[in-house]
Amino acid sequence: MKTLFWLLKHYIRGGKHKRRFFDLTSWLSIAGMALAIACMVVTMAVVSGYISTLQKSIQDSFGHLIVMKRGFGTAQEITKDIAPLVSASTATTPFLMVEAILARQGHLSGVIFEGMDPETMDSVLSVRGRLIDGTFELGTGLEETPPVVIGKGVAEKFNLKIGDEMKATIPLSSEFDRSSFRPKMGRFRVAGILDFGRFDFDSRYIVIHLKSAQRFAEVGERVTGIRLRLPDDSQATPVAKLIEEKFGHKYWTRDWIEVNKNLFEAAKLEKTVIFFVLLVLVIAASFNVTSMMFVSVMRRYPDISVLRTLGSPKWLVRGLFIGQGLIVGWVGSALGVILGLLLCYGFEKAENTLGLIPSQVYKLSTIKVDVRPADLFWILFASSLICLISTLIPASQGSRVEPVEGLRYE
Amino acid sequence: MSLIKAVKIEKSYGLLRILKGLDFEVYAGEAVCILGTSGAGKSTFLHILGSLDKPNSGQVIWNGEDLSLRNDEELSRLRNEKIGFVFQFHHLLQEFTALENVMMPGKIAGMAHNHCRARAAELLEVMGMSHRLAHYPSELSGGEQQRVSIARALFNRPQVLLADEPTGNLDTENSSRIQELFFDLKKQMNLTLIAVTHDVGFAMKFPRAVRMADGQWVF
Repeated sequence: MKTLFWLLKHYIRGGKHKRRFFDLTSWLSIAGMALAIACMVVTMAVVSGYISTLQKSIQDSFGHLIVMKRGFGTAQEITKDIAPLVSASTATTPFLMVEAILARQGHLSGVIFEGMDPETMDSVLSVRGRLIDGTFELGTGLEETPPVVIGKGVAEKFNLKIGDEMKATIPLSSEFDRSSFRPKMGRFRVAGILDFGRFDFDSRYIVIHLKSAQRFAEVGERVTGIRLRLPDDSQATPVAKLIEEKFGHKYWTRDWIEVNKNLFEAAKLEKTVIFFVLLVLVIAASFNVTSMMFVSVMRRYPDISVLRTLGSPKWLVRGLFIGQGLIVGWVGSALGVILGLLLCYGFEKAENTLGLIPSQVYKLSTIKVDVRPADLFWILFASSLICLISTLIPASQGSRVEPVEGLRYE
Repeated sequence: MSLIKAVKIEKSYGLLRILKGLDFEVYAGEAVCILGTSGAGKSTFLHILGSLDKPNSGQVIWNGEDLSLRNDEELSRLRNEKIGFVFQFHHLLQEFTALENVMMPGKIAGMAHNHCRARAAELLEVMGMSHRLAHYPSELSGGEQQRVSIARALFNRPQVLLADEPTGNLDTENSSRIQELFFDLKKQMNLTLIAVTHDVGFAMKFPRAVRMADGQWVF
């Protein structure tokens, strides 16, 4: 093997000879490979970015897991029940969800008031960082006109700006007859506007102090449930299962994956399918490598003959051409990765300025491109394997050259 | 026992018969010249003796062993260890310096790099080429290239040196220097030398010369 590397090193370095290792045909093969790899890198990064942006936006505004008690309960009661089932480092925050109708300037739409506890919410959620206008002010929970922070979709739909007041109506069931409802109207002041990063949240969510929400909905100290942030987000599903197994119908849970389960599964499946579809590009590019190798073998007949005359075994000649093909493939792949990263950067820039992602379709307004080392590994592994296969036939042809064939003519 | 023995060697390319049942025998330490005009089949015969080519029929026997019974790897090892080749067109590898070209048989044999360097430098010094070690073939004259190729042929201390028109591409002065070098080396290293040439003057310097015409010996 040392001899093989020594020979390869010299062929790459080249002598003072017009015949170069990286000649025009090699560079054309490299360019083809680089373009194919760049396509793969960009596409995989965008799909991975979509998955991780979706995941982050859900976790920022949803947490890892919500535990809700049927028929409401207090935060202390729920926390006490589930404490033995989760790790001590799990953070929790209570929440109250109130569905309401918001009417303003001729627009009428259903919204969700999300009552949050300002003291504990930051240990579970990261919504504060998603503020795009105003302040993240929820007040004390005792105001007559409580401050709220609204999703940017709500702001657009109802033409709400910082400082504007709005009215919302909720149905309250009668104390005497649970089947009859009476409307209750509340008045709120817009303190801030949030970009949840998710279309469905942005267009419906209004964040309010937990106490304000409890007063508005007249539920006393009761909450819908608690949100949890676990030390590891992959534990959300097992913990949810554990809680449901232990408490049966008393509690019901929902983890962050379930929020958009179909979308997550579709995105993961698409990622796998896209990987294999784009691999066809690499296979097509590898045909260039094969052609280049055949040309190289023909041009190096005299060298092959000299090496064979001096006693070189066939495997050494074969290894020399396989090495040449792999080097061309690796240079192409490396350039492809660099080009892909540049295109990813360009994609993010273009996305930020042109808004390439239709948020109604993809539930996200922007996607952060996510270049994952695992994706790069599989791209490079697959391309190396394809390059190796593409060199086998020409390398085998080179090794079958009889010593005397290249010696006949100079 | 003869070192190399060829029995009824026949070789043809399609309908063209190149060698027509040649017998040949050479003993260890002998110097033999095969003389003939261009196209007589002498290079083809030399290639067959050196296991670079295979006859259509007949046998080449090395130290009593039939080469047709050896596989490709064994023949490669034989060429690497026992035979040195010198060609009319030198056939140096262009991407390698003079020193690296001479090192090549040692590297192929898997010898240590430093040992190869030292041995190659020593041989090039013997050839009077110590000032050209780092030069590429394209920077050397024809005579210098031929000296490098002779040094390369001698790297593994071969039993036999096969030379195919070694002076055919050189001017008169370089040609006579190379001829002298061959006989000096043969004497110093006790080589068996088989040379192919159309140069009668060169052939006359050999103790034994055979003539070939149209793929047959001429007596």
